[in-house]
This record gives sequence, structure tokens and C-alpha cells, in this order.
Amino acid sequence: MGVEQVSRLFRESAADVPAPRLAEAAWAQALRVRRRRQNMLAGTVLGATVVTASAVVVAVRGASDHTPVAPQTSAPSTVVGIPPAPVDRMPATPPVRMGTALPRNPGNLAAAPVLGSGAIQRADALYEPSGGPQTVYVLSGGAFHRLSVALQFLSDPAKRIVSPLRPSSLSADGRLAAFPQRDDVLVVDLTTARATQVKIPGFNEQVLWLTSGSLLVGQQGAAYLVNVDRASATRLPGSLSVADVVAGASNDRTVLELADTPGLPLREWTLGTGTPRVDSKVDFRGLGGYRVSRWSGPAWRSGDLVVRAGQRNASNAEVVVVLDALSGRVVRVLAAAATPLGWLDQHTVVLQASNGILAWDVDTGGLTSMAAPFDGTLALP
Amino acid sequence: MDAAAADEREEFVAFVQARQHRLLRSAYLICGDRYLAENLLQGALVKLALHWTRVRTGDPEAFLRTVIYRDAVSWWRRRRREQLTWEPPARVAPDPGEDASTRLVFEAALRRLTPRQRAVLVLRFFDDLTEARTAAVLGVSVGTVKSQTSVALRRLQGMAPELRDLLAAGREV
Repeated sequence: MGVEQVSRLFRESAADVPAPRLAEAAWAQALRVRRRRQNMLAGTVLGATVVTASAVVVAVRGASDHTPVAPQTSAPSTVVGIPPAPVDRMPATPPVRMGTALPRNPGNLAAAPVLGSGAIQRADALYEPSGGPQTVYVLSGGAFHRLSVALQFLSDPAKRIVSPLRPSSLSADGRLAAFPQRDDVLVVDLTTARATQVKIPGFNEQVLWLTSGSLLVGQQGAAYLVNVDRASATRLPGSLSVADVVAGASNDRTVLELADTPGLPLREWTLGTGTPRVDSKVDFRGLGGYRVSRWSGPAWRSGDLVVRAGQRNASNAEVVVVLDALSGRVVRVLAAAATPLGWLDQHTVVLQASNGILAWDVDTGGLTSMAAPFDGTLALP
Repeated sequence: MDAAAADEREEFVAFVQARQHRLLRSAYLICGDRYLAENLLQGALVKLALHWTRVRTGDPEAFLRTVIYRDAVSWWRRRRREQLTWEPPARVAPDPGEDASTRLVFEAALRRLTPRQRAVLVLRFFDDLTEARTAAVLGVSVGTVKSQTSVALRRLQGMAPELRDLLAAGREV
């Protein structure tokens, strides 16, 4: 009787745990780990014999629809016991990647029709050109529509106009768009073109969709959890900075924060609690004596990897860093000014850079061009 | 991908699909956090995939359970180092506004056990493993499994007197 009752309590406690679908992803991740180890092994051998070297390798991908060229890669000095993170550099003209949802360039946006109900099933991107008429466009199936919802374009303390479009404005399913405003947040159902106003007093600056479908909204020194269906917001305790929350890794219970505070801690929060549950540090030893002095822009997670842009200390040079979220270790670096817009797949980061929208393969370091430069703010699902 | 590699992949996927739900539940009971449980299982599955050629002919399920348990302990140790000020309450008390059901009391008390004690109870009473198999998974002796089971049940009683009768019966096994 005792065994049965203890077993029953265990079964009841675990009954709500949904069935996962991890088999295929685990096999695929193991393949990537093998490739990464092989790359690291090659990098370690190179680093042990040559202090600084560069090489151009043509990566041939068989029947692939594109042929990425691995960028010039310099091997950083080896730190004993820590594999050096490969440092990639931006090629002058990355090869074109075919078959992406983005058009090569935005085209004539003035002719874009107004987004109406039923016009699209999902959005592939949101775009707000800089220096234009302060309009947000919705890209779907290769065509742009103009969003007719009235949005506030506010000024920051430096009197610069701030777009209400954030790189994290578009939900993962491409159906909802969120725009932070003064005293409220607008959530637009892109399939019906209807907007819902969620009252949040104050200057709302950031929005970020959680994997559960809820929305995080950030102000200076405050964070809110928004239930979109109920159009209600709850202020969260603690000092969570929504601007530093890692997208794609956070649900209604747990969020990961790559904090831009002294020491650049990597924190895990249980929402609703005032202190982080795990507070660790990013391990920059793989950067060969360098470290990141501050983060900028959004952070995105795929599997165990997190990507974010930052500034390297000493030179303030801009870099894009890929971290292992579990160990906090830097595993790859792109020495270039670029904004990560998310993950195209489990090993490819989408970047917005001055020379275009790029796909960065973090296994090989290869960079390919997905589209011409989009001058303005771009948000992907 | 050659035919042998495709066969290995297919075999791995079939093996995991048949067990992943139960293993996730087991991981959740050990760590008490669904998000962490999925991470633990995912990490263990990747390790299994990396060693599949060697492990597939042995006991891959025991391999997974061992990795999940060890990774859970590593996570717990890391958290303990980073939260030195955190002190567990001496006794579990459900929030007054919540349904103080037996299950909630049981779950709250379970979270106060050490990972090894939780793992022993989960492997023995949720996964129905024998003492010998539990010992093999945890890398301890059968005697340790017996003593840890006894200690864990006694601690649960201390933290949650509501469960005393129930757990006293459980200790008799």
C-alpha cells in the first residue's frame, strides 16, 4: 500500500509534463557538436603553432543552393585548457544565399497596399525604413503591406526619434506584432489587422515574445508580463531588464537574461520572484585575453547557443558573440558591427549589417548574403 | 549519409521516441523544474547520440538516467555556490491561499531533499527500478540506496507531518 501511494503521488506530480519531441533534434545537435569539436581541434592545432594566421577556405556544400565562403579567420592566442573561440571576419562581398523569405531589396514601398483583414496568414518580417514617413511595413510571401495602425514615434532623451518597431516585435508564429508606446503597448493581429491596446503607464521601451505566447514589456527599471488574450499586464518584481532577456529561451516561468551590468552576468529568473535563480558569469577565456565590455541589441537563443552583439574591451570594437548558454563559454565570434535578428535554423544566425542581411553559420563561420541592406529597423519571427 | 549511419539514426530516434516522455517526467521529478528537466534530457540525449555506436548494445536507458542525474547534481551544486544566502525553511508549509492537497505538500517536501535523495525515490518509486539498478544508475552501492531511501522518507516525514502515515507505509518496502 505504501509503495503504491508513493508511486501514485509521483505519477500525479508528473502527470502534467507534456510529451517532448527531442529525438531528431538531439541527433542533429550531436552531429553539430562533432563538427564543432573537429573545427576546434583544427583551431587548437593552428593556434599552438602559429600565433596569428589567416586562411581562406572554400567550403563546398555539394548540392546546396549556395556556396558560402568561410571568412578570413584569425586564430586567437591559446589559453591553457580553454579551446579558443574562432574569430570570423566580414568578407567584402559575401556570396548570395538563395531561397530566403526576404526580397533582395525592399523595392517601391510607396506602392505597398494597406494591410487589411485576411490579407496575410503570417508575416515573414516587419520593416520600418529610417528617414522615411514613419511607417511600418509587413512582409509576407515576398510582398509588402503598409500597417495602418496609428503608432507613436517618440523621442529618446537625446531627442532622436525612436521607432516603435523592435527587432523582437514579431511573434514566433508571425501572426502578432507588438509595439511599445507611451502608457500602453499595441498588439496587432496581422491576420486581421486589428490592434489591441494594453495599458501600461510609463515610457515603454522594449517588447519581447515568450515561447508561451505571452509578452514581456520593459521600461527603465520595470518589467511587465502581458497576457495578450486578456489585454492585461502584471508588473514583475525584481530588477529584470527586458532589453537583456534572451529571446527564444524564455517561457512564462523561466527567463534567461544576458545582463548588461558590471560583470555581464548570465542570469536565470523564475518570473514572479524578485531575485535571479541562477547568477553566473560569461566565460570570456576563449577570447584569448579579450572580453566584452558591454552588450547591445537583442539576444537570441537556439538550443544551447545564445548570440548577441557587444563591444570588445580595449578597442571598443564591435563584435557578435555566440555563447554556450549552459557553460557561459564563448564559442564563436564575428569581428564586425552587426545586429543579430534571430536564428534562421539551429546553427545559422541572421544578421543585419551595413553590407546587407547576412546568414552566419556558427558551425563553419561561413557568411552568406540573404538580402541587400535594409536601412532601418527589421524584425523577424 | 551512408546506409549504416541512416540505420543508426533511425534506431536512435526509435529508441528515444519510445522513452522520452517517461524520462522527461522522471527528470522533472528529480529537478522540480520542467524547463530544466527538458534541458537535462536534451543534454543527455545529445551525449547518448554522440556515444550511440558504443552504448546501443549495452544499456542506453541506464546511460541516460545516469547523465540526467549527474547533470542535475552539477546544476544544483552550481546554484548552491551562487546562492549562498538561500536557506530552506525547516518545515514545508503550503501557501494558505492554495489547495493544500497531499500532492502539493508532497511536491514541496520533495524539493527540499538533496538531488541524490530525490533521485533514489524517483528511480525506486516512479521508475520502478530495483535497488541494484538504482545503485548502478547513481553509481553507489545497494546499501547506499537502501539507507538513502530510508533517510529521504524520514526527512519527508519531518518536513511534512501530513504525509507521515503514507510515508511510514512506504518505508516498509
